[in-house]
Amino acid sequence: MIDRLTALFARRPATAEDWLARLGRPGVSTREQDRFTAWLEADPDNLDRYESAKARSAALEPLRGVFEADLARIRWRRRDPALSRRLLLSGGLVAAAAVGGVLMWPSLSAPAGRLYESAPGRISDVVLDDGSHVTLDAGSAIRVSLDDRVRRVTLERGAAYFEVAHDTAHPFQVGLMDRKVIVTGTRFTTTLKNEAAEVALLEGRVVISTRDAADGRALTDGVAMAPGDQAVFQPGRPVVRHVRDDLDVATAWRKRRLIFRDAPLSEVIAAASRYSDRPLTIVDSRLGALRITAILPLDGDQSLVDRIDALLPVTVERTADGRALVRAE
Amino acid sequence: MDAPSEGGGVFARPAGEAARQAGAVAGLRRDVVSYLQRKGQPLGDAEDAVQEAFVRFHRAGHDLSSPDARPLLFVIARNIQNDRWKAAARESRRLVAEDVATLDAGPRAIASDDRPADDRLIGRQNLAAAAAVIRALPQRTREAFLMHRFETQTYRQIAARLGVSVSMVEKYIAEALRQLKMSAED
Repeated sequence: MIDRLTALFARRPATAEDWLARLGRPGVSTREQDRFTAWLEADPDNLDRYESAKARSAALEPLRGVFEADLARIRWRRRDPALSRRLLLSGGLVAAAAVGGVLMWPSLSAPAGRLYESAPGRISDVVLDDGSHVTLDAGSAIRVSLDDRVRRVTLERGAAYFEVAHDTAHPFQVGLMDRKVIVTGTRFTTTLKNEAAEVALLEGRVVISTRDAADGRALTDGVAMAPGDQAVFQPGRPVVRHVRDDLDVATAWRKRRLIFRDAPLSEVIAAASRYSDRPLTIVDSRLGALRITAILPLDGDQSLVDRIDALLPVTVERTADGRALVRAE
Repeated sequence: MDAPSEGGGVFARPAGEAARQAGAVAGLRRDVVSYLQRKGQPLGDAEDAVQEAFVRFHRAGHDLSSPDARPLLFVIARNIQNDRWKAAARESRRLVAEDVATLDAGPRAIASDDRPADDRLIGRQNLAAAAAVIRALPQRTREAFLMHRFETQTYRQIAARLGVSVSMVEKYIAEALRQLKMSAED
């Protein structure tokens, strides 16, 4: 009702754009429609101007995808300055000493949130509701729960690459075994393999903590990482940090390719098998020691088996029972 | 992986109104006829022009359920009638005077779908320019426009989201449309 009243006092639309905006209001009155008719009648070109304005708006349709991340951010955002204040008070993402004796922080809540899974052999992309972009490695799963305070993701299996939408008011955390990787906006990968968890930081800063991001102490008693760092840990054991100059190679799967620098063929075939629809087996064990330097694309029309056959110094034979045998060329 | 809701017209309405809308068309048709009669048209001619007006209305991509439908139909029908009169007048003059010269002028465009189709389409680089214009809008203007255009939220929903009045949302939308027009004319 108040909307209708204020509409009466609002300036009368003068242009096609004004009218287009006015007629988008809720409950356009007959009187308003009559005024619009009068405006259309007043100048023979007004119909064309109005239709052009409408068509310009309709023609924006292909941009829907371009603005999807912005819309996701708007959808999710809440007014909550409390947490950003707390982050500022604790000094932002300051470097902190590694804690010696690690406390197990039992998860009190049952698994909640939305589960995203990638199929075996298939790398998948996900845009979260906050605009963050996640690339799931083959056969991986994350659980996502964005609340008013913290954007919480848990890596349940496999590996995930995160490009976190920058939002200092809402820390983004990835639960990894008994730790949380806490960030505000950056690029990094998390991996679960061989009973251990790995974090590779490509850009920005993260803190690995045993505490939840909603806990003010999470940032001060965690382990801070710098770009190029790789951190490895097991539940209840301290975090071990390595400085690596080849993180782009180690995390190349996020760009849907595998990169090998002077790696044994056995390692290449083991890595490639994760993305192949057929299990790959090296027939000749001596062949496994062959050193390989190659970039192996994981997407495209050609199957991975055909690519290995073409790119590596081997021949691959497909068997009737669905395997692929790797032999010397 | 929520897919954005489909639709996205400037005046998209909830789907439930579609059925009610079908019944409203007959009434709308009568209204257009009486509008033309008020403008001094003989009834038989008016029915004809209304028929054509509805065809042009749909071809131009308008939507009967939106509040601009009635005024647009009125004026499109009126333009059709006017052009018919002029054509008829020319025809009778031509028969008398063989005045071919006036024919060269041709009838005035009635609705914009008479223009070449690609006049209406936004090319790839123009689309990039439009995206840049939207990105350069002040934050609230941009957010209001994005919610309106791509999420078909009502002004009331947008107002609640941004914590402003419905009138303010209208101003934001008008401003965004104005900026888009200016960039399209450059």
